This record gives sequence, C-alpha cells and structure tokens, in this order.
Amino acid sequence: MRIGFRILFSLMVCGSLGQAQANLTDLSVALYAANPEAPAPPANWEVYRIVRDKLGINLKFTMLPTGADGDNRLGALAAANDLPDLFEVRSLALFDRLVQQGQLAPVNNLFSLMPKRTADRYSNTRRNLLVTSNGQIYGFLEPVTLSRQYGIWVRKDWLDKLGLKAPTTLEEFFEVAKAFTERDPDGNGRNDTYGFGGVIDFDTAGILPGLGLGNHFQWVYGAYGVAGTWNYNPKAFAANVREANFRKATEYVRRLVEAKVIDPDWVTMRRADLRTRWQQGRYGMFFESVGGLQAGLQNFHANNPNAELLLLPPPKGPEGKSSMGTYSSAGWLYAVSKRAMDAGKGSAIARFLEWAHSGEGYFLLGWGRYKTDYTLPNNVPTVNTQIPISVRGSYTQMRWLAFNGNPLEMRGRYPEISVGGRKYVMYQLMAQAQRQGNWIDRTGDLIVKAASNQADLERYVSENLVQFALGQRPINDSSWNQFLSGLRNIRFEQYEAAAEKALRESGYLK
Amino acid sequence: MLLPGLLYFLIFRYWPLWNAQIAFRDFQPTLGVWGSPWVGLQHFLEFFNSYYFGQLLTNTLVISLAKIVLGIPPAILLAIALHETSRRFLARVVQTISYLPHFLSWVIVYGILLAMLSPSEGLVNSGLRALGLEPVPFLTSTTTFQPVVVLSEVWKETGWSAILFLAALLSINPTLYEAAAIDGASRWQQVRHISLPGIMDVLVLVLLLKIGSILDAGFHQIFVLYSLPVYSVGDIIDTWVYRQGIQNFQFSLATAVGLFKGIIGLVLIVVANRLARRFVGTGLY
Repeated sequence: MRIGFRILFSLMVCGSLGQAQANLTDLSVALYAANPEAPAPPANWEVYRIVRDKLGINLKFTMLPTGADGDNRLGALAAANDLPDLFEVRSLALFDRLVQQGQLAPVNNLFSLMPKRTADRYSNTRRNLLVTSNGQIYGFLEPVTLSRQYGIWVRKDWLDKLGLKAPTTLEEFFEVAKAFTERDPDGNGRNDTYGFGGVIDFDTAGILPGLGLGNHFQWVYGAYGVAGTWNYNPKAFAANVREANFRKATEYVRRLVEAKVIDPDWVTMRRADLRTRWQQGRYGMFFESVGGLQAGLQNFHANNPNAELLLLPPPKGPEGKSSMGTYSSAGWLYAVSKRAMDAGKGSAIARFLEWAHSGEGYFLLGWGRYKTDYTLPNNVPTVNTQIPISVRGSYTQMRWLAFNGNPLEMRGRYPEISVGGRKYVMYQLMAQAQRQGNWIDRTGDLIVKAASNQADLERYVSENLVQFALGQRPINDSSWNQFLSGLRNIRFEQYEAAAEKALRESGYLK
Repeated sequence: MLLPGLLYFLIFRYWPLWNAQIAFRDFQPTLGVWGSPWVGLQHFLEFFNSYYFGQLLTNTLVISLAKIVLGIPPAILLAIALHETSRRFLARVVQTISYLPHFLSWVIVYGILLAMLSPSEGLVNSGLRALGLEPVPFLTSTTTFQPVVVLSEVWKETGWSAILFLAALLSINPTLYEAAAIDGASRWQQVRHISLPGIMDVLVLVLLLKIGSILDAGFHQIFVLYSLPVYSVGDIIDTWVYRQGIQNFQFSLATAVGLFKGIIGLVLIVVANRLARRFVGTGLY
C-alpha cells in the first residue's frame, strides 16, 4: 500500500514537473561578446535558473565573436535559415538583407508588453525610423550609451620636458609632433619615439566611420570641416571626398607622414599594436578611447613611471574649424527572427527584455554577482577591480541588454582609479572627451543602404587616399582630378543619389 | 574499405555541388535553394564587370604562378640534399626544422614578418638604418609586397613540399645508384640521370594539382598580410569575394565566383594532363 502510494506520489511529482517544463519557452539569444577577454557564462550561471523560475524561459545564450567574424557567423546562420530567436546585429548591411529576405519579424506588437523598457529606450520615433521598413519596426534600436569617447592624448611630461605647450591648431600639432620625434623626449639617447600614433580603423564603437582613412584621422578632416562621409548641406549634398578641403586634409596627413612624425607602421598596424606601443611609451600623442586608456594605464605607468597624460581638444584648422569626428546617437540593435515570432516566442522575448531593463535583471546582467563582481557603495554600482576581467567578464557578457548609459552607471563603469601615483577620474575624462570633441552627429548615415558594389567603393576611396598620404602618388591637380573622375567608374554617383534620396525621405536632410 | 572514402566524397564533395545552383539564383534562405528565383548569369556578370576584375585576375595568377615556379625547385633541392647526405642524424634534424614552419598559422608568420620587416622596429630595417640606408616598407610597398608574399610562402612550405619528393627519391631502386657508381658516375651525374628522372612522376603530379588550383593564390596568407597601400598588387579573387560576397552577405555571388574558379581549374587540369601525357608520358589519370 505504502509502496503504491509512493509510486503514485512520484508519478504526480514527475507529472507536475513535466507540466512546468512544458510551460517553459525555449529562447535562444545570440549577442556579441561584451567582454571578449572572458569566456561565456558557466552552465550553472544563476541567471539561467532565475530566468527559468521567474520568467518561464529556458534561456540559451550564445556569444558571437566581435568584429567581422561575428557578422559572418550571423550571415552563415541566416543563410541556413537558422537565426537565433533574439540576436544582436551590428552590420547594417546584414540587417537590411535580413529585412529584405523576410527573416526578421516586426516588433511593433512587443512594445506594449514591455512598457518600462519601451518608455525609456524605444520611444524615440526618429531613431526607430532607422530600423523601419514599410511602416514596420524591425528591431529594438537602443539609445547610444557610449559614444564620442575617443580623443588625442598627449604626454604632458614630454611637453614640459621640451618646454612646449599643448597644441591647439594643426600647425602647432605638427611642430609638437616633430619635437616629440626628433628631440628625444624620453631621454634614452635613442631615436625611438614618434609624434603621433594612430591606425586605419573603421570600428563603429564610439565613432561613426566615414569613407577614407578611418576613425583615427577624422580629426584632421574635422579641422577642415569635412569629417565623415557626407556633406549634409541641403542645397549641395555630396560626398565629402568631393570637397576641396578634403584634399587639403589629405595633404596634411601626407605632411605628417613625410616628416616621419607618425609611426611608419600606421597602415599595417592593428589597434592592439597601437595600444602596445603607446603603453610602451613610444608616442608623444596617440588616438585612443577612454575605455582603451583605462585598460592600458597599469602597463603604461609601469613602463613610464613619471608619465602624465592630457586629453587634447581637436586641433583647429586654418579656418578655425575643429572636430574629433562623427558619431551616431543610435546604440546597439537587437532583432527578432521571424521563426521565433511565428513560434509564439514574442511575449517571452518581451518578458526577458523588460526583466533585463531594471531591478534584479539589470544588476545581474549588467554588473554580475553582487559582492563578488561589484558592490553598491552609496547605491552606486561599482566594479570590483580585484576580480580580473577574464573572470568577472563571464558574468556580464549580456550587459549591453541591461546598460542604459545613465550618469550613475557611467560612474560605476568608469571609476576613479589610481595608477603610478596618479589619479584618473575616468568618468570625468569620458565626459570631457564627449564635451570638448565638437563631435558631429551623423546618425542619418545609418539610413543609407550599402551599395551593391560597396566593397569596391570603399576600396577605391581608401586605397587612393592611403596612396596619396604615403606619397605613393603625388598630390596635384591632375592626380586629384584623376582620382575624383575615377569615382564615376565605380558608380559613385548612384551611391550618392541613393544616399541623398534616403536622407531626404527620412528627414535627416532637409 | 572503399566505402568510407566514397561516402566522404559523396557527402562532403558531391552533395554540396547540388547547392552550387544558388550561383544562378537570388538565394533567399526562407525560400530555400529550390524556391529561390533564377537570375541566370547575373552574379557571374557582376563579378566579370567588377571594376577590379582584371586586376584581381592578374594578381591571382601572378602570385599563384610565382609560388609554383619559385616554390617547387627549392623543395626538390632540399629533398635531394636530404637524400644525398650520408649523415642521417643531420638529415633528420634539417628535415624537422624545415617543415616546422608549415604548422605555423599565417597570423604567427605575420608577426614574425612584422618583427623582421617593419619600417619602425624590424630587424632588417634596423640593419639598413645601421648601414646609413633608408628603411624599406616591405609590406606596404607595391614593388616589394608580392616578393614578400611569394618568398614567405616558399619559406613556410618548402620543407613540407620536400616530403613528397623525398618519398619519391627513397622509392628509387638503390641498385641503380650502385651500378652508376661502379660505372664511375659522379654524385652530380647520379642526381641528374637517376634522381631527377626518378621523381618525374611525382613532379608532374604535384604540378598538375597546383595548376588545378591556380586561382587559389592563398586567401589566408594574403588576408593577413595585405593592407590598403598594396591592394593594387595584393588583392586577389578570394579576398575580393570575402569583402564583397561574404561581408556583404551576397552568398550567391560568392558561390558564383567559387564555381567560376572550379570550372577554370577543371579545364586547366584536363588540358595540362593531356599535355603532360603527350610530352612527359605520364599524367594524373
């Protein structure tokens, strides 16, 4: 009798468990690694349990590699018609293609299911327009949480040693760079320093790249009023490359190259190489983000004990213009696959995103394990830097779903740190980089679709500019006109016309 | 015994060919391979009409041919040298060291090349500067990039390629060398009249296989080594396909180019095989 009762009870328990399992919604989420230096969260991550118990979601999280590798991975999944339920898209070319191919679901109906998140993040009609097609919104486009965080950092200790002032114009920049290169500012008796360190980089984090030499040289083009790809003049819209000042800016870069004040490896170096070299103390001035600086300060001061860094305002050009570059006010983009929506997972996706927006979900995803990965002194979440990022980073790989960019959050992520006897208030430096950079909002660029021969367009412009900058081609009227007339061969006019049409229709160009 | 091999080729080599039809369609994953609309030769024409088509083809052929022409002789020389030496221990050490670079990824080789050739801190340029000469931007100059590509490939692969030739040399009947020695043949004469003819079959085989893949100029290597200043001499079909086809998610275009390369390779291999049969008396099949 007792045995029979036990069997019956066991069957009932199994049945109810089975019922609970049956009510769970499987949800696959793929996001780019927020901390590439750390592995994916462990299988026993408490978030999996909490999300299952409280939200009824069986979460399956996949990390995408950052950069083109991640884009390619998503592209391959799309080609196999096997996209995750909820995923991050960083390549707008891929996003456009997925919309065209009907692989993405409109998310309009989900906004009302996550009222708090929608009110705080997705209520900007203008931003939503960037992901709208035929009146349907095809993704959750976040407000930007981290942009304009780049700048030119100068070695103040070297300036003092050589009796120089921080440069404010392109001319002064050139002279200071020359002195840093030729007057042995580190005093080691060797000719091993360069005035400026920068690389050809088109990363979209913090800067909106333009056609040409990439983010690290936009300040030169900004000094001539031609930063970014497009000249948004409503009466004479065109690509900036056609402007007379674009040639002058390129001539300035060439001048820096010819004077050998730029590290001669600038065209082949990667960002990681640049970071290694400024940390070694090779450059008097270098282009870097506040986040990149924070990560490298320890090494930098270990190699250069008496160093001091200053953040330069963008140098002014001959007409008094200046800008560190262009940026977009749109942040990360999350899309829902049509397959997921068809399978009725829309409400689970909304539940999960709303949970990640505030309270428990926000802290778990954004900051990790309380009292281990972060603490809350005076209610300010503060990262525990004693735990290496390679460890705590695992628990915050989904942090971009949570972060909102408010000042408190920035204070926690970019705290005050002391290195090499110097104090760096990182959140203040971040604010300074954003404030003094004269950054140009070019969010409208995101509405411009990639041309069918985008790779050829990009190659043509960038290759020619690099050849001009390196001195492989002379810069004179004839060669420059030849370069401009060659734009016709790659159907650049059609690209410009399509861009103008898209910008006017969306209201970004009036 | 044959079954696993046959299955491998059927599943991984022949079945995917069926899907190569997306080269003639506007591939839409939601519609599948069958449901995607036909576009005929549109993707092939897009590739042929690409602004850089001529340059891509030239670069691919020049780099590929240079790798064959300059890559095979050192491998044969190394194999003969290893075969001829009477010091077996030394031969083993040299052989091991020479084929080690084959196992290095191109990313590591790039690091080594940068350490050697970088204008700012490379070993070679430091030497040039010490001699009062101007540093040479080996990796960013249009005149030096292709030689760097070819020579780095030769350095990396010579040891590995020599294994085939060494195996062929070891299969030559030793009595031939003994008889030649008794007849008074010098070492050089033995190499010329016994060793070289003895490896001719393998040489033809290697050449035919390389001709078949002549439009593969080494994606991984070029992708790691090239940069904007040397696109005019370094951009090859595969790197273009990566940028235009893969990074812009035009899978039909990428497949069309792959098919084009395959067909050219097939034609070349058939022609070369016939020529080899006619003039050398041996071939691939």
